[in-house]
Amino acid sequence: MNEDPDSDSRRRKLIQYLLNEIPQEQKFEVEKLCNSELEWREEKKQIQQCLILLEEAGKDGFKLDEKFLEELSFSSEEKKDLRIAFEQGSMRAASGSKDQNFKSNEKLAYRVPLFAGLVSLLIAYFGTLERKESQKSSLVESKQFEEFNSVSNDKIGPHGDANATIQEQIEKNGTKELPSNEKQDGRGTLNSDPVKGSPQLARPSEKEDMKGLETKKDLPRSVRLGEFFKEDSSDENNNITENPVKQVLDWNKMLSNSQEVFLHLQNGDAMGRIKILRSLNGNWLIQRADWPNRERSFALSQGKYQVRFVDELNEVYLLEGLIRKAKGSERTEEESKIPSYILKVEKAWILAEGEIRKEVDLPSE
Amino acid sequence: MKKAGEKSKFDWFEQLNSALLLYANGILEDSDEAKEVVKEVFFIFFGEEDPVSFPKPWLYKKTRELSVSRLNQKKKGSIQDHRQLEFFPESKIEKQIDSIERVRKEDKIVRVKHEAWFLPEKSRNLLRMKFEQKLSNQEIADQQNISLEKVSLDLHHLILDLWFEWKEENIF
Repeated sequence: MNEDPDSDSRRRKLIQYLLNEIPQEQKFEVEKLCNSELEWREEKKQIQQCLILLEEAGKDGFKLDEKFLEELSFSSEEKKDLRIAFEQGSMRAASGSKDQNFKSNEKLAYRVPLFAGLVSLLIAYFGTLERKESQKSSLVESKQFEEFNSVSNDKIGPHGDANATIQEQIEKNGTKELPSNEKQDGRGTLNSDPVKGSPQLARPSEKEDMKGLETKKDLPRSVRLGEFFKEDSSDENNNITENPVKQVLDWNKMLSNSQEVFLHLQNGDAMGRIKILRSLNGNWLIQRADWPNRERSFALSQGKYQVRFVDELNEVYLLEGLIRKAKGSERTEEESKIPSYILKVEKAWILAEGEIRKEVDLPSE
Repeated sequence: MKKAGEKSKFDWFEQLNSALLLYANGILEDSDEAKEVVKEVFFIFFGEEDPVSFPKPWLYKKTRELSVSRLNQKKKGSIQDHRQLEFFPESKIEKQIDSIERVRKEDKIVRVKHEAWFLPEKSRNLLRMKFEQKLSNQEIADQQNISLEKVSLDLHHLILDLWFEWKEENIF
C-alpha cells in the first residue's frame, strides 16, 4: 500500500471500531466521522465487507484440499513453453510493436504458432503435383461448361465470381476425397470406391472383385432409358457389362425416394448431402442439405460435380453434371430461402457388381 | 529499470500460477479450462505495455473475469441447446443458471479462502484464530505468548493488506 499516514490511521481506527476493540466514547467519535466524512463512510463500508468475507470464509476453516492443488499445476514442460511464449509477448510490448490488432487478439496470441503449423501442413499436403494435374483437367472441362452457360443463357449472378474464388480456396483445403483414380478421371473409373466420403453407400463385400480392372476405360453409353443394362455389343470396350435387365428408370421417383444424395467435387472431395427439390426441364433444382465442412463456403460455385445416391432397391447411382445458381424465375419463394442450384446431368452410371460403372441414359426432358 | 526488490513478471508467474489455477478451477470446476484461463491471463499480463501497478490483484481480477465469462458462455450454450433440441429438462437449466449466480456470490468467499491458503503460516494462523475459532485478541495473545498490542497490530496490518488487494480487485 502506498497511502498517507492519515489514511492509514483512519483505516486502523475503522478496523478497531468494527472489531469492537475500542471503548464506547471512541466508537461515537468514529460514527460521527463516518456521518460527516465521505471517505470514512466509504472505507468503513468496504472494511466491513472485508471482515464479513473473512468471517464467512472462516466458518468452514479457510480450508483447501492440498491433493487437489497438486493435480492442478503446470508441468515443468508446460512452464518452460509458457516462459518462452511470455518472453515473446514481453518483447513485443517492450519494443512498442504491439499494435491494436495484437491487443484485440491477445487471447489468441499463444495459439498463433499452432495455427501457423497447421497452415504449413495444409500447404505442404495440398500443394502437390496431383493437385496441379487436377487443375489442368478442370481447364478442359471449363469448355463444356461454357457450352452449358451459352445454352441456358444464364447469368451467374452477382456472387458468381466471388463464389468461384471461394470454392477454389475450398477445393485447395478439401479433406474428404474420393480415391485418387477418380480424381484423375471422374467419369470412367472402374475400380474406384465411389462411395468414399459417403459411408452409407459402401459395399465392402464387393471390393475383392475390383482387382485387375485398373486399366479399363470408360464404358460406352450402352444403356438407354427403358433398356436399362442393355449391353451395347458394338462397343469394343464394353467387356465388363453385365446381362441387360429391362427396367424403366423413373429418375424423379428414384431421386425423390433416395434419403441420401451426396455431392462431390470433380476431384472427389465430398461436399455433403444435397436435397433434390424437383426436376426442371430435364435438369434438377437442388439445395444443399447439410454443411459438414465449415471450412468451405456454403455457396456452390458453378462447375462440374458428381452426385451419388442409392435407390430403393439399394442400387448406387452416380451422376455427373454441371451446377449453376438457379435464376429467380426457376425457383419459388420458398425455394429461395436458401441458395438453390440447377444441376444439369451429363452422364449417369449405375454401380453394378464389382463396383463396375454402367452408363445409363440421362433423365429425359 | 527494475527497482531493488521489485518482482519481474516471471516472478509473478512463478509465485501465483498455482494459486490462480486453483482459483480458476474453483469457479469453473474444470481443470483443463482453468489451465487455459490462467495461460490466457498471463499472456495478457506479459503483453501489457503499461506497467501493472498492483500485479497480484490484477491477475486475480483477470482470472475471475475470464473464468466467469467462460462459465457464462457455457450457460448460454446450454440455454441455446435447450431451445433448439428441447432436450434438457427445465429444472436442469434452472439449476445451471442458479449455480452460475452462486458462483458470483461464492466467488468472494472462494477468493478469501485462496488468499488465506497462500498466506504465510503465521498470518494464516492469526486469521484462523480470529475468524474461525472466534478468539479475542487477548486469547490469541495468551495462546501465542505475545503482547496484546502485537496481536492487534499484526491483525490490523493483515486486514488492511487484504482489504487493499480486494479493493483493487473490485471485490467490494
